[in-house]
Amino acid sequence: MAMSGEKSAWVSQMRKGVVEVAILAMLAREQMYGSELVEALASRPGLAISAGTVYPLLSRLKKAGVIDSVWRESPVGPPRKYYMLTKQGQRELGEMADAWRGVASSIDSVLGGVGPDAGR
Amino acid sequence: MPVDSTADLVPETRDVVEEYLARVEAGFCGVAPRDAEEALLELRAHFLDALDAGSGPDQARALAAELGEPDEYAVALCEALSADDASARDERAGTEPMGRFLGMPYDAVAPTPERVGSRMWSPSDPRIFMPRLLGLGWTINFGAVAVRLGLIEPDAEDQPFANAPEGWLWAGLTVPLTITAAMLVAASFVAGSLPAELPVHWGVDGSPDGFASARTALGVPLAAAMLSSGYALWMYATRKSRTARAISSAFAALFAVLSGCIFAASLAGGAGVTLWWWWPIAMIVASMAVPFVMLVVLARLGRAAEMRRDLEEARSDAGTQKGRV
Repeated sequence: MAMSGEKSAWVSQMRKGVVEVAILAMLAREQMYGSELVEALASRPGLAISAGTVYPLLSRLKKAGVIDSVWRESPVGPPRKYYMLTKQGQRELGEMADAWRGVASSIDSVLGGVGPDAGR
Repeated sequence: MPVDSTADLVPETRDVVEEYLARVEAGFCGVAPRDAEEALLELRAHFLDALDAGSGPDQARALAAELGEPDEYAVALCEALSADDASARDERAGTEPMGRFLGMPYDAVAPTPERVGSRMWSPSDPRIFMPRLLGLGWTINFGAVAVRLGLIEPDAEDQPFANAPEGWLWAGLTVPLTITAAMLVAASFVAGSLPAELPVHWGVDGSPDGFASARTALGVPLAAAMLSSGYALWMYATRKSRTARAISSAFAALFAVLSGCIFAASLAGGAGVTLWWWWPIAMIVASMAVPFVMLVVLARLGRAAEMRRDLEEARSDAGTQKGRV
């Protein structure tokens, strides 16, 4: 179903807001290098995150001290720059996860059965 | 009794409401007048809905307290109204144009090395054409080109050129300086034997169709090369950050190559040489290619230095751990 400009802008805004949580959550599970992270995020079509979003965000998160990076030998191929959460990042991810769950459950309950798929 | 206008309120109550509205209005920044007006009307209606002709000022104050400080309310309104995409703007801070004119971005803020750098070399940003630094149009993001060509990763360096070796940075500076020096030497050699006029403009077939005095024809490109080299030299002399120096040398090289080519074309024209038709294209390609190569080399050296630092650290950590066991 094609969406109007206004609605697709809303969807992309909403995604932008949650990309950060997605990146931090993936890095909390394991350390990853840039293109690995891009691929992992791209495989989740609901997020629709591209390299152009991920890399600027990574450098911002690093400047903010939420993540850190280090060059490491990779099992295959050349050394790569791996990203990981800092202590501050772990703390912030916890807070963000709580906030997200609060928002998600409230929105779900407000939405109830709204939408074309409802009642299937 | 509900009211339609603040005029129907008790004077003290009205003053509280009007003052709040005035302070919100004063806090507006860069919001389209129509949007601002609408937002204020809505806010006014909010007060009038909750108040009636008998409401005292305390009721109005309670309403205002619910809304928060007027300046904060104004800021929140501004954000909601002006930003189509506030988060993207943060990420691309410093790379957004001041505005648009006939669809083209324009900018009139003095270009600092950081601002030049954020548009000339921004590998994490996939846009090749960035809003131009000064004036109208776009500038090329060499970093995005290098990423597309597979010459570097978008996140290869934490801060562009921050770890590029000093020696190589100085080598970068010699590029514009050498070109400028060569132009000076050439000018002093030919100074006595120049025709009165030299070509400064050429037709599509390469034959000259515009002339200027020899002094102007050679002096203008020479001055451009000297100015841009002087700018880079000043960045190095005042020991600016490696990022600023790398960018300034590439920036100066771009102008030095371009003016060197025009300078050479005028000299060649004076000697009766007809230019080949591809000369203007070659000129533009060269003036892009030289700074591009410089920036790619410096970025790759910076990446290598960063990599070496981290890998050596890991190795020595592993060594001390083995020692402990």
